[in-house]
Amino acid sequence: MNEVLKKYLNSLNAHSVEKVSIEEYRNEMVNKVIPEIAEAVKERQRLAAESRLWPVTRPRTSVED
Amino acid sequence: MNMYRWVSIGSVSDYDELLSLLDSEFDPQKIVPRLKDAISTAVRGVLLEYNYIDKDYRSTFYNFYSKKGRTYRSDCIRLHFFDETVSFNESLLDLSSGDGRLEDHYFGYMVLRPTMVATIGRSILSPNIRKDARGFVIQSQHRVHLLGHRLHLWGFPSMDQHTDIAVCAHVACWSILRHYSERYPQHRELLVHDITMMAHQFDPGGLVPSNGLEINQAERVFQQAGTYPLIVTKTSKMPERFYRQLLAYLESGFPLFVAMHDRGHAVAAIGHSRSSLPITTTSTSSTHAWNQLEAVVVVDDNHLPYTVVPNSGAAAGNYSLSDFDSFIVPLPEKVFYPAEAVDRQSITLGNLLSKFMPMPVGGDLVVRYFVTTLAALRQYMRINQSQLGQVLVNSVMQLQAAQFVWVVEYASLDQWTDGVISARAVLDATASPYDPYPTWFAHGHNEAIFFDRSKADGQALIVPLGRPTAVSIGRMEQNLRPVVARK
Repeated sequence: MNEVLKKYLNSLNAHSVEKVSIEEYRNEMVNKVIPEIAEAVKERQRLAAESRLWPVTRPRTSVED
Repeated sequence: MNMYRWVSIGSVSDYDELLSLLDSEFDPQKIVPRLKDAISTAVRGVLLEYNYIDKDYRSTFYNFYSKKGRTYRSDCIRLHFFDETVSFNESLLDLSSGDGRLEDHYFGYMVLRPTMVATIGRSILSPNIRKDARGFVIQSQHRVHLLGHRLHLWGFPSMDQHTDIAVCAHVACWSILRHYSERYPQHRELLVHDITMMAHQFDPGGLVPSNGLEINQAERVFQQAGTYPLIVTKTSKMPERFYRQLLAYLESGFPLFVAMHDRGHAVAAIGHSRSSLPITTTSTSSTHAWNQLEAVVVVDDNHLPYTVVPNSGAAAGNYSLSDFDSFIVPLPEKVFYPAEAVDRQSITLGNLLSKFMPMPVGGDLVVRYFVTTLAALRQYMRINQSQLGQVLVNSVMQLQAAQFVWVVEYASLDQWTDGVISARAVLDATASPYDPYPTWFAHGHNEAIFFDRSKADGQALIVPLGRPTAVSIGRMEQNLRPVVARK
């Protein structure tokens, strides 16, 4: 956070989020969510590699096509 | 012969006059039924502009049609569409409207190419005159010069495929990239010939007939055009995640190149339509905004633009959203945090927020997310200053963040129906997918949490917003424009 914003927030009686909540959030992110994201990114890249050679389009075979 | 001809449209049958005014090279027998079928009765006059030089057709004429044994003309005809207040004076060669604001009564143009087959060329039509078009559509403002007037209109580019040198996938790429060059000054204009050549891994020695296109060729076109394409493919295991990402990127204002592998067809997805019925769910877990979608709006080169593809059943193109099996989103540089990461992170972030602000829980929670720029977010905050309160507005104005941000909105089922939210989070679109703290800040009705991302240990400050308590916080409808049907 930039100092200007921090100073502004502190001037408004901002208080810190208690550490235990942040720790809980971080643990869930690190142990569950980030591995899921990593797996999803890997899976997307694998599927993209497969689909790159799909011949998705062709020229019209008739004017009615 | 006159350069301009006016056709008054009192009823649908008046389009038949075009049959005698258009040479056979422009295939009026096919054009007139398409206009009758797809254009609303708001159009009450069509101005024909003969001998029009169209840059996109000329790019294919110079590089392909002029090399053929059959003689092709080099000129096109442009059809301009107006409402009932506009009239044309043939002796003065001028258009006039009752209020002197011609562009308020202009619905766009359609170029006709002298190619005999698939003759609809570069077209910019307002979605407001397309029968059945509805919902929200990505649009940019286009400038049109006509009879000494400079007219502006909102729309999305479209054309028919050429059938030989350019197939539907080239046209989908062209539509998207022409939108980019009109919308964003850093993207240069690419003509049909350029797009066709960019699809090749090497120069085959000129423009040659195409046998079709593979996804990697479309990806190459977007790469060479200076975008950062991301391919997302549907799996039978979790198809809903595919559609959530599709909606997220669409709502971000990125038109999508959509492939239908089984149908051998590609279209540009440019908008969506939400159902008028509220979301109903028996699930105990959260719902995504996708669940209220009744249709996606596409530019399909077999139809006039703004075709509505329904969630289920078949549309004009005889396909539905279940036929979409892959899409390419041409992202700008610096959108590194993908939609699939937001999809998962947003739920965990919602759990954290629920400790500090009232949040819907379980099956009552609806989540929506999209990309916008920090500048657009600040503009939104400025416009909605009285709703959001001075503390939040001042904080966002002083926030140092990257150019692109993900916006995540949390609402209850009832709030979603009313177009309001419980909370909004703003994430760093340049974050790594492995960053545990990708959030810049989040706010509810009474508090905001700002994360100190200069520290590794995730410190955050909560600040009271002091905003008016009885005022709801509206959903951000930021990147798409509503279709306002003109009948």
